[in-house]
Amino acid sequence: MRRRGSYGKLIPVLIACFLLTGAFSLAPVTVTMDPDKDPLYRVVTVDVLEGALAENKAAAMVTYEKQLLAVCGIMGSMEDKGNAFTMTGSESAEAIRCTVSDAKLRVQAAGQAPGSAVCVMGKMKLSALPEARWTLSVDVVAPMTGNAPSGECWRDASGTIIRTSDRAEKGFGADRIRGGARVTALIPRSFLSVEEELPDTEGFLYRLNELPGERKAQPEQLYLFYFDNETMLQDQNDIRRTTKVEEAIIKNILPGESIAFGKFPKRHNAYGRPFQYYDTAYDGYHAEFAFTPAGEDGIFCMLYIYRSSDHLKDILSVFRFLEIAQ
Amino acid sequence: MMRIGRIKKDHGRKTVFQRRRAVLSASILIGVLLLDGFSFGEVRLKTDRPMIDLKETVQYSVIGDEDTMTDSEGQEETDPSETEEEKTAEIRIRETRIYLNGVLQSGPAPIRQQLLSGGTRVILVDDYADYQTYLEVREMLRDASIPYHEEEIRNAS
Repeated sequence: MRRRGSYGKLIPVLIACFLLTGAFSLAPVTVTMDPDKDPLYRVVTVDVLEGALAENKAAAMVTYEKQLLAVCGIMGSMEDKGNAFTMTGSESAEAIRCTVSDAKLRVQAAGQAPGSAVCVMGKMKLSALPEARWTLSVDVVAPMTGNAPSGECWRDASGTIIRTSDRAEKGFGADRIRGGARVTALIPRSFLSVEEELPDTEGFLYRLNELPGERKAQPEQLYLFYFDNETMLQDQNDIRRTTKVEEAIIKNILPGESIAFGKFPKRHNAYGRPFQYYDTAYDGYHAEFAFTPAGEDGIFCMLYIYRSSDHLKDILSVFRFLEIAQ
Repeated sequence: MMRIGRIKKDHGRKTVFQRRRAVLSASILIGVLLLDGFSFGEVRLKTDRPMIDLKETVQYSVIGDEDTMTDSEGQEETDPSETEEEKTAEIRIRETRIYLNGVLQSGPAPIRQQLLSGGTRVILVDDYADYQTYLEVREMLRDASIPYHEEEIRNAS
């Protein structure tokens, strides 16, 4: 009886301990190098969206559905409950529907006068019923200043415009695929002046603190490199054990690091690509890793070393323009 | 007879059930062992040599004058050229960058000024240096008649 009594006290304590540790490990730690914090939206007008839909529905879906878009158009009217509003273009009579989820956005949307030019950013969906119609799940509502930027471009929540013509192309894993690169990254063209090829690995180092005009004493560095499974793994059967391979990469660069990936996010980012993040320290600096598999051929890796993350925006934009050939 | 038969039949069913349970638990055990094997084994790389030598890249990226450098470096500094900086100066040339004791310099001229002030022993390190830059620095050292010792980093291991 006495024994049973003591167990009776012990079990709830054990359960409580289990729950507490479980709660700690379930809450993912956030990392600085996370593109979802400041995503880039592709700029497009209502006219272009409606034109694409009228021309070829299937092609329009491939191009725009589930994409982050910054839609430029004319503010229409709020729906009765205030959960959505419409936006029209200058040419077509069709309107796209913009749904707002929280109160703050509702206030932002209500602040735009009907008939004024706006730029609404969010994720696009094509609702099938009652008829095919664009529906934007809104993240940001901003008034438009000036005309909609022409040509292919992207913008962030604060209104910075980014064009692919201002960027330089970098290929990785070219010998894995015929006639091109396995991974293609578009980096800001300004990075080229501080680029250095890595001596022991396929990839580049960008010494961002040495950028002309803003030379700073403390290192801020971005490494983009490609881990080739075939040339780097001792046992080719390990190819599918991506998490363990990523661990091995970190241990190779930072020997003695004890890795607990469970604490760090592994998820698809806003652009739909799966990434495993890891945050640690090197010699008093933050050292953040981001890995994404390039099929079964290899892993594309990013390493960001910094004390002050001055060029974070530029680094996050690299995630947006990452292409991996299948 | 019927009864005995039925009992026997029941008995037979039971053993089949027990056998199924045994097979099930054995396969669960094997499954768990396999999973263990997959998740606990370390992945080995073909080489232990670091893919990226952070010691090299982070250390040789400090820009500025001596003041900001001691500011930003702080704690554990193990570079030998730092500890005996009175006597030895290391000029390292990587591509077109020139470092004096780990500090990036704008060109050969400022190095000359810094070196002339003390009777220092100079080590000139060719760290995948740009040929033209290397020649310029060597020319500067000869011009100023500063004795130097050349080293080269070009090992493949």
